[in-house]
Amino acid sequence: MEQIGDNPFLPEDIIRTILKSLPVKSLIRFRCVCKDWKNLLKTLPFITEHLHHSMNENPLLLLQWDRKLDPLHFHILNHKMQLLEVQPPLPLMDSSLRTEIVGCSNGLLCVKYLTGLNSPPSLSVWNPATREILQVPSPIKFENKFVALGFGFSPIDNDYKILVSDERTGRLGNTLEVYSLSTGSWKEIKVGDFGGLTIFDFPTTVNGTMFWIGYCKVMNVDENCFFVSDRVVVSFDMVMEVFTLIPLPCDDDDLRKSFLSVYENKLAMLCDTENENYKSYRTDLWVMEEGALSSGERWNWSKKYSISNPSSIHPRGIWLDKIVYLSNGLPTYDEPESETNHRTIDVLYTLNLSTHEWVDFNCRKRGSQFRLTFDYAESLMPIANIHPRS
Amino acid sequence: MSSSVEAITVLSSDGDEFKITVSAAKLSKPLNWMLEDVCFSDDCDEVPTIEVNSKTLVKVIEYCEKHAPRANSGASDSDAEELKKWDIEFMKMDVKDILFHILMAANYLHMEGLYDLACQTAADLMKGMTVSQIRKIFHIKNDFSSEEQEQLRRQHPGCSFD
Repeated sequence: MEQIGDNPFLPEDIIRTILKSLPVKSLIRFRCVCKDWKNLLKTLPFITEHLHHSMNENPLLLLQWDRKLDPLHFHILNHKMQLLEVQPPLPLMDSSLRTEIVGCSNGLLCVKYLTGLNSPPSLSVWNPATREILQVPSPIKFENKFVALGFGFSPIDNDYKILVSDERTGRLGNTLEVYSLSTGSWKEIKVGDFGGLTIFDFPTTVNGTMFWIGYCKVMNVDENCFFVSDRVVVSFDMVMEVFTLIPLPCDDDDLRKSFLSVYENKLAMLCDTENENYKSYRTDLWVMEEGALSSGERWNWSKKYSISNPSSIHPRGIWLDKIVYLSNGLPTYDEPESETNHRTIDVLYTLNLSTHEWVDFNCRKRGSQFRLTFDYAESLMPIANIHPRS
Repeated sequence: MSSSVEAITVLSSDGDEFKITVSAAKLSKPLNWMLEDVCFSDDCDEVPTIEVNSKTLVKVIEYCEKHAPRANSGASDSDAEELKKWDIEFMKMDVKDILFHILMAANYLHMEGLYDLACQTAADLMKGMTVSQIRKIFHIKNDFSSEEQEQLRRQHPGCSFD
């Protein structure tokens, strides 16, 4: 390659294929090579090709340390199982108050944070790879207090949307507000009465639909403690702007915890389930089929895996061919003697679905632990100037 | 095509003759089409020319012969792992100085595996290069005016044109 004189001129399609295999950091630098490259690197078709290559060849797991009391603090786990630290940009770094992730899609993260004790919450969309960040304007009506229910990408209208509710606890109100990144504006939507249905987590987005686990019964024990029951899967179609409630694949009473994830581009549910003897636990992985099914149902759950796991950890997501587990924060002494006898509390585990091999990452830091994981891939996706398809 | 043919002869763009086994030639769509063509029947002496220079064609054929058994029969995971290691060594040791020729040949011969491998190798080599190194290997002229360079520098502090 160093033999300059002998290098043939490469046609544009070959150059394009090489460029889409490059990391974002190099591509940002190569914008200065010439006008053709600068223009190519900012076109949406190239950015999308690069994103898909990045998702397939270099899928990353973004890990967030303690959720709310710390400033944002991230690590990235790559497919070679190396942990790398990510620096959040100003102003997220300065915000030592409550910070939470609203969602993660196509390499973009939406973050809600407070800039001062008495200031209203702020929302920003951030691309950690390009370090671009955009502050989202305040919602129309819920300016001073709101719960950010989710952030996701809708491929049909090629837009990113943020969904907020005005209830403090995450209850679905009659009226919600939706922000569109392509129009840069908020709008109100009426969704009907869900009778106190409550959402606590960020959504899992599959093919333009956001999914959460919702709780029909929520009782406040005190400000930070809730008693919840009657779980249901809640979906929000980002184009039609309608909610649907989907029954769980299994009996709610047997479930210790449940998390949504994506498996083979379909919605998946990881159920941390108590075995009949109440002494051991297993993870059931269910996958949902949607559409006109032969059974006449609109959706159908099928169980793909059932694997036992220690009581000290919960399945948190699916990444590559692995289930990612996080510790539940409690030390345990009651595990059977086995290689899955994990007594430390600050560890991340992965379980390979085909080999059933456990790998642990002891990544303790300042006494805190990983709380959340997100599927992530580096992307050139711009935040400003997103053009809607229609 | 006669079933007795096990290897075919092709000419490089430099006019040198090369032998390639039928199973290896099947990795390339155009070569496969040629195989089905009459010129490989027993009573035909015509030798087709491949528009790839000799130095590059040697390596392309080496790649085909190595990958042919797996492509034709399917192989175990351990074979796939071994082949992956071989690919890395092949790219590292042998082809660095003719990488762009390999890319052109893989593109022309419709060899997806070699093409992807060569693209990834090129990307890995480019990753740490400076902008002026990139311009040199791709024969690109800096066509930004000094005003445009100044504007880009303002928009992206720290960007370098050298």
